Amino acid sequence: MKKIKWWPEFFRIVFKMNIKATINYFGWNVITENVINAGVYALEYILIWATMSKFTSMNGWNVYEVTFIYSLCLLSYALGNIFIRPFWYFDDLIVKGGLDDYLIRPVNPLAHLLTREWQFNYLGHFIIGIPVLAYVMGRIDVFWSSSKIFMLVLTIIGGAFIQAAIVVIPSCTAFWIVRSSSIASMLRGFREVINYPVSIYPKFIQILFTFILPYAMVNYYPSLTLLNKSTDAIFSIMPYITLFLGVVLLVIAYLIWNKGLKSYNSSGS
Amino acid sequence: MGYIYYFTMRLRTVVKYKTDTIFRIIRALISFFTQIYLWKALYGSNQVVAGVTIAEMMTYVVVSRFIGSVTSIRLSRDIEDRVKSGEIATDLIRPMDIRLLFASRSIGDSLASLLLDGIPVILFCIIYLGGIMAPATIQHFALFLVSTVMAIIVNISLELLIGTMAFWYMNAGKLNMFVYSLSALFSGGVVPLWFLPSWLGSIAYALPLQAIKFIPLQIYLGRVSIAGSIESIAVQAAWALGLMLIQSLLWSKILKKIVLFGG
Repeated sequence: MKKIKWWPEFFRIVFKMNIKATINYFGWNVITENVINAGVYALEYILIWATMSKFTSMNGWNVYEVTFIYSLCLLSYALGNIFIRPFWYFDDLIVKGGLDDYLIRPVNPLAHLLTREWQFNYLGHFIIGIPVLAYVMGRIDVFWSSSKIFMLVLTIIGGAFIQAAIVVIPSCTAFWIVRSSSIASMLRGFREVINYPVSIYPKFIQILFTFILPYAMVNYYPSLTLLNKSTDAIFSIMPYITLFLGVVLLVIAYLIWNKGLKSYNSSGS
Repeated sequence: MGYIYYFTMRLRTVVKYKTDTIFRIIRALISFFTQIYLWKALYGSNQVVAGVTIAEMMTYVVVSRFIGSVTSIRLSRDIEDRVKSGEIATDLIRPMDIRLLFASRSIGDSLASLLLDGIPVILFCIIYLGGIMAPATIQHFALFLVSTVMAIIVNISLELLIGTMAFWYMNAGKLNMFVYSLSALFSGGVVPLWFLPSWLGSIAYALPLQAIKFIPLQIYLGRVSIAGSIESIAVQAAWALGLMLIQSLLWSKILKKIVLFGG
C-alpha cells in the first residue's frame, strides 16, 4: 500500500475521491438534489415572508431582520454539515463494526471519517441562502462596513462550528450508550427554534438555547451586534464570542472523540 | 383480515421504541412552543389582526397539531424503501392489494402518533394555554370529525401518489421533502390561509394540500357556515378521488413495466 506522507497530498486525494464517488454513485441525482434543496429553502423563505405579511414586526424585528436571522442559521448549518455526514449515523458504525475500517488505515481515523462523505448537495442551500442574505442586507438600515462584513463571515464560520459540534458531541456518546442517533437527530431538529429571534420565547427557553444547547449563539446574539440592535458593550463583540464558542465546542468534541476511541471495543462483526 | 394485522404490527413497532417516543414528545413540545410564541410575538399588543383574534389563533395552533399528528405518516418513504431494496416484488405477489396494505400500515402510523406525541402534547398545550376555544357549534364539531377523516384519506392518496413516483425517480424521499415544504406553506398547517398575500392564497386554494389541514381547521373554528362546511367536505372528497384516479393510472402502467423487467 502506498503510504500517504503529506496532508496536502492527502486532501488532494480525498477531494478527487469525493468528487468521483459523488459522480459515480449519484450522477445527475446530485443536480436534481441541489435543485430540490434550493426549492425547499426558497419555500421556507416564502413561508417567513408570508407569515409576516399581515404583521409589521416580530417583537421588534421586521421581516428583513427575521430573514437575516434565518439565513445565518441556514448557511452555518449547511457549512457545518458538509464534512460530518458520517456522524449522522455514527451509532451504526459502532453497532455494525464499520468503524474498524477507519482504524486500520494508515491515516488518522478522524481525518479519514471527516473526508469520507462530503455533501455536495448542500450547494443548494448556498445557491438560495447567499443571494437572499445579500438582498436583505441591502434592505436593512445598517451601514455594511468592511469590518461588519468581516464579523458576518466570522459569525457564519463560528455558527457552523457550533452546529457541527451539536451533531458530533451527542453522536460520540454512541461509544458508551451505543444507540445515539435518535437523541442526535432530536437535537439537530431543535434548529427550528432559531428560525426566529429567540427573544420571542419565555425566559426558560431562552436560557436553555443560550447556555445549555447554544443555538441562539449561532444567529440571534451576533445579529444584535451586526444589526446594531443593542447598545450594551457586551453585545458589540458577539460575533467573536460565537467564533470562540464554536472553537471551544469543537475542541470538546475532539476530546470526547479521543476518550471514546480509547474505550472502544469493536463489535467484531 | 390481513390488513388489520399490518395495521397492528406497525402500531406495535412504533410503541416498542420507548426512548424514541420520549424524544418525539420533547420534539413535539418544542415545536409547539415555537408556534405559540411566534404568533404571540407577531400579535404583540394587538388583539385582532385581519379579523382573527389571538384566542382563535392559539386554538388554531392546537387543533392544527391534532390534525398534523393524524396525518403524519411515512407511506411514500415506505414504498421508496421497498422499491430500493427490491422487496416490492414480494409485496406484489401477496394475495392482497398492496396499496391497501400500505394504507392500513399508515393508519397504524396515524394512530401511533396520535397516542404518543399527539394527545399528550395537545393536553399539555391546553393546560399551558389555560384552555382553547370550543368548536363553534355541535354540528360544526360533527362536521369537523368527518372532515378530519376525509383529510386522512386525501393525505393517504397523496402519499401513495408520491410513493408511486419512486418507481421512476428513485429519490422519492427528496421529493417528499419538497412536498413537505410545499405543505408548510400551502396546507394552512403553519400559517392560516387568511394571512397569506392574496396571490399565494389563490395558489393554496387550488392545491390539494389545503384539503388536508386548512379545511377541517376552518370548520372547527366555525369560519364557514354549515352549508359551506358540507361543500368543503365535498371538495376534500373530490381531491381524494382525483388523486386516487391519477395514482391508479400510473400504477397500472408500472405493473406492466415490472412484468417486462421481471420477465
